[in-house]
Amino acid sequence: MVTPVANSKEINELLARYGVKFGIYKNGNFHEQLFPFDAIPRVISAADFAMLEKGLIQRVDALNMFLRDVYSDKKIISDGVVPDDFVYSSTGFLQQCDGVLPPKGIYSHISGIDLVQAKDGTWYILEDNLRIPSGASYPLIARELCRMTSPDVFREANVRDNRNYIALLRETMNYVNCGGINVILTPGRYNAAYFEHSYFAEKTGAVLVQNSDLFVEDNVLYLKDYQNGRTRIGTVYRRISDEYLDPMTFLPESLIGIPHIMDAYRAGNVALINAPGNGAADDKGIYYFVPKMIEYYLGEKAILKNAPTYLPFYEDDRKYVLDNLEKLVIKDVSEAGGYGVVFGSDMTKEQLTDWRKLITEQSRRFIAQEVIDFIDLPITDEQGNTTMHKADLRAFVLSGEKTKVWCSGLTRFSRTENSFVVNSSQGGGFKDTWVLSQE
Amino acid sequence: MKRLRFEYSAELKFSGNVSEHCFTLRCLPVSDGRQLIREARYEISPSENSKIWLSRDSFGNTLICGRIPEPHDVFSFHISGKAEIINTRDISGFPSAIYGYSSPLTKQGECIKKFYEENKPTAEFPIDRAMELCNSLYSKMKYEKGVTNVHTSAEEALSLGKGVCQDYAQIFLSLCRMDGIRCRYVSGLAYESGETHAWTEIGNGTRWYGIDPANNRFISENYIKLCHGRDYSDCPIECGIYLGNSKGVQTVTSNVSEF
Repeated sequence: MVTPVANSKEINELLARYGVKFGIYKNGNFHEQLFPFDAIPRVISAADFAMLEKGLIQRVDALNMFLRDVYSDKKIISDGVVPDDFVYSSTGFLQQCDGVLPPKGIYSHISGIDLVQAKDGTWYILEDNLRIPSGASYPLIARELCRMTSPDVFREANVRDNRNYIALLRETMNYVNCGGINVILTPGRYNAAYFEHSYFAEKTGAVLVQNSDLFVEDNVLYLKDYQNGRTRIGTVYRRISDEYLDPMTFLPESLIGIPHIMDAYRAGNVALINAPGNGAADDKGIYYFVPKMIEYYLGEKAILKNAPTYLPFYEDDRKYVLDNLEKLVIKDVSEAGGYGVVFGSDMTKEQLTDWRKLITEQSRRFIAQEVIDFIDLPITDEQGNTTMHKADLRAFVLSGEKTKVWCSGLTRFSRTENSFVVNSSQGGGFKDTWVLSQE
Repeated sequence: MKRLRFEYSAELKFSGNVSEHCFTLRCLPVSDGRQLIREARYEISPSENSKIWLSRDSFGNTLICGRIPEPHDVFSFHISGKAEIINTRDISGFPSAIYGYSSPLTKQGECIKKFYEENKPTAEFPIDRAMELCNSLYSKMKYEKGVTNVHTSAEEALSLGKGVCQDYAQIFLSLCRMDGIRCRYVSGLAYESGETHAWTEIGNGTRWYGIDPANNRFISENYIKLCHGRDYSDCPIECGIYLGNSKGVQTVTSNVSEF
């Protein structure tokens, strides 16, 4: 048994003082709130992690191959593995990126893969986040503080060091760099993850920039300085979503984007981390096809399982969903961040009827999944009592020359007991994730 | 074959100074199976301290990109050149599946769905079915300027029952896509029209065919294509962003003539 880290209260106070915050928009107003830290770590055994590592590398490699394929030859579509409808009518597929090969052919450099562990010990993939997965900084800084408050725990517990995330991130940026410096592009301090942007810039040595610091000429991206000088940029780790990235290519009303950055990217003069258009692979509708992708591209069986998923788009699946709606969870494929998720078990008779009608009419819009009874982790509440909350794990997978899994992760737990929604946009807190170096 | 001389100019006058002006122009025609561009020139003003370069978008259009950091109150560009029209309708290039899906401005709403059901084409081949839809649309719509703008969707324009060439083109594309036909939006210049024109290309097997829904006909030798996309929003002839709270007024002239 592992000794839990003490001093939960002091660590939370330090986190607050360092500005480790999370921003959310509620009714159009921006609120910055603390992301509560619980000091009892989640512990993953060495054997479990070895299996997760293998499975995650396999999955992310296949997802990268899928992105490269759908934005070039589209063989997986012409071979009938993924129906074209699921690619082209997805809001994540960007026609503006078709035919563009990113530097070194990598699309998803930083992947945040969300998993849960069922009560029988089986791990299931909940979703893939290949656009701008956030959250790695929280466990990093929490670990730093825990090491200070309880150094002896880390001497005795055989926990693998997770401080290499910074080196992995730097390596990933350097590998695709097209000549020039690395920058981290933030929309500014009113972004939910601004703390993380500044933290990574400081730690990796990349320059933290906003759009007004940058300009493009001759399809090359530059950083301005105060003497009218310029420095060429080779990699942008951008924390701005695709549609706001370039007002010349995407939303013309974007005030946080950089005009012509897409021209520089298409010309191969700058790497964008992650590549624009990755939404084509982490769409909830595409999730269903990931195990098929792994078989198609790698000729292997998927090591990590998907949660059992049904696509009402297919007739057999639709029939199953309509017959079993009360025990399934329904997700709207176009929503993210824990929004658009409804549980059949929470519905009244009338609501079930309405949902059956909606699913029949808009079969492409929803997926249905079996509810996985995933494990509860102990949380210390304000009174010092231990209560059990649902928790998931976001694993961070970085793809540079090789694909690597960070030997830690972000464990998020639900705000209230019995709630299944662990997304940080919905409240809730986080824990450190310990990967043991030996049993 | 026809030899055409083409010209297109636009001038944007601002009420005060603007700066940090970035722009993208899609008005440099490229050669395809129908048109051979023999000569194409462009001039942009102000040119001093401006940086101009070429790029290409994922639809295959040539882009003139630029950045004017210095304050200015007039921005203008002028394109001219010579083209040979070697073929009237048939444009080479394999119509990709993406052109079969609805795009931001061609999403089908109630109005378009209803119109399609009432005017379902009966012919066998895509190109003939498209022409049937074009006919039905032409008799329903009234050409009228000033009732729609560049952001008006196909659905909105059809419910109004009036609009300009862009609206005709986008409604037509929306109907064709409902019918499973791959098709795209084209901006270009037409003989003696004086301004830019919008029409469509319809995928038929491995070829594209030009149809001009605002005139209910196949395009003739008098058209010069500048750019294409799934709808207008993919390929505005001009788009820009600048600092300053001035209003801009634009004047446009174009001319296509035989030589």
